[in-house]
Amino acid sequence: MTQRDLTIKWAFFSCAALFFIALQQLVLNHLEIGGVHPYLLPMLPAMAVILEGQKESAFFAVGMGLFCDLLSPAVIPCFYTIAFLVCSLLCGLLAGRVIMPGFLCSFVCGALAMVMTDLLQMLFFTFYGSFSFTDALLLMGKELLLSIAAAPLIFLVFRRISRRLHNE
Amino acid sequence: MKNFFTKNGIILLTVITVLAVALCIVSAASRGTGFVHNALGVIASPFRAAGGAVTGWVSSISEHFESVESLQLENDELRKQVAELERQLRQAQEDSEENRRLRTLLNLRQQRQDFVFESAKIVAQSSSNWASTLTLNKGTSAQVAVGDCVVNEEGFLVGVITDAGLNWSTVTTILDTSSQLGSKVFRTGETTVAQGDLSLMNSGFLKLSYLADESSAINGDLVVTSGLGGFYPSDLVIGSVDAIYTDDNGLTKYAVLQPKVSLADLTQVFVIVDFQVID
Repeated sequence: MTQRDLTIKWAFFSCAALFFIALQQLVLNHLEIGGVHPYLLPMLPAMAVILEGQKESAFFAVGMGLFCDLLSPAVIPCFYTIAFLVCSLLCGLLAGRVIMPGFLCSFVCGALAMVMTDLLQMLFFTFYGSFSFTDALLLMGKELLLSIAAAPLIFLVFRRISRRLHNE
Repeated sequence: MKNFFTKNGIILLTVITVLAVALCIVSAASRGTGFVHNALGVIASPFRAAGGAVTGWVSSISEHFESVESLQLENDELRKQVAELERQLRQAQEDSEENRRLRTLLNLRQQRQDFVFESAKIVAQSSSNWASTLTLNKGTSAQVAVGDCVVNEEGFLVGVITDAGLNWSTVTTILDTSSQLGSKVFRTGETTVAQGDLSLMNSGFLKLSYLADESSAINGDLVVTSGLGGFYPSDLVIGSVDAIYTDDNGLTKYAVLQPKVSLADLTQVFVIVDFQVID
């Protein structure tokens, strides 16, 4: 793959990610069920790593994290950058080595990304504030249940882009 | 028939030409409308009428298209005007809403003359389920500093500035788990701590901790900032007591507070950049 092809490929992935970020900001943030709204963002770098491998996807995860950090405030500066990079690296260890890339893999990696992001939130909470571990687990569970259904959908969009560009 | 025109075509053409010339000469020579001229007019009139009708039809079509074009142009122009008027209407509605907020703030200013306000717009809200923060479009260049209280136009507490850049600042709302404010029950004067709680945050509530066992706080009691220590101004309305529970240790109570401010509807807030500490 030439430099130009690589640029085009990741530009398309970025556009898809932008679409999901816009969906999150404009629609999902206002769609609260039981006080929790679906949260798709950690799943985006996870889906990219399933399809494109660890190395390139790590850069994508960092870029996406920086973008999300710029867009919305988090518990600490650069939280999303760190969280997405960790998600990307962990999912890279799973996808293709333990589970074959596919819908099952998208579920597992999506869930792993969500759990990792939430565990990092909890880790930072222990330094920056007080929280009940039970409440945090409950929130993590609710968030996971609400969001995980979107993992195959994101995977499908990313796979379509990946296949089309690889065929060309 | 085919052969007739082949053989006699030239002769026929010559005859017709001669006749036409002759008719022209006769018509020109005769005064008024002569018989020949008249007869030719009678014969030609249905053809002329048909021709006129066709021409009229064609011109009406072209006129129709011309009018459609002009109507389209007019329509485009009107659409632009409607869009512009709608934009003006939206602006007017926004201005009117801002005007209402500023009038309410003016009322608050008269009540609390020790406050110096800085108006700011909310540019982003935290999209995570784990935090409740807002980003404002004002920062240190507008005297906004870490620790400043943020209120809405009615003076209800929104949160506290926890980060401030040159032209931006982050407000940690009263619902966030890291938020802790010295507060008091307005009716009884009992001092407590209002703090964010993870289990309550997503339902839009916060916790009022360290209520004494013999506390006489009841549902509906107003809770305001205590102002103790001089970090935050006093008497900023946080919310009202929604329910009271006993802590696990059985010695103290805590209350669930419903904030007075509706965070979801906020677009503009006011940062208290300076206030007088009342001892």
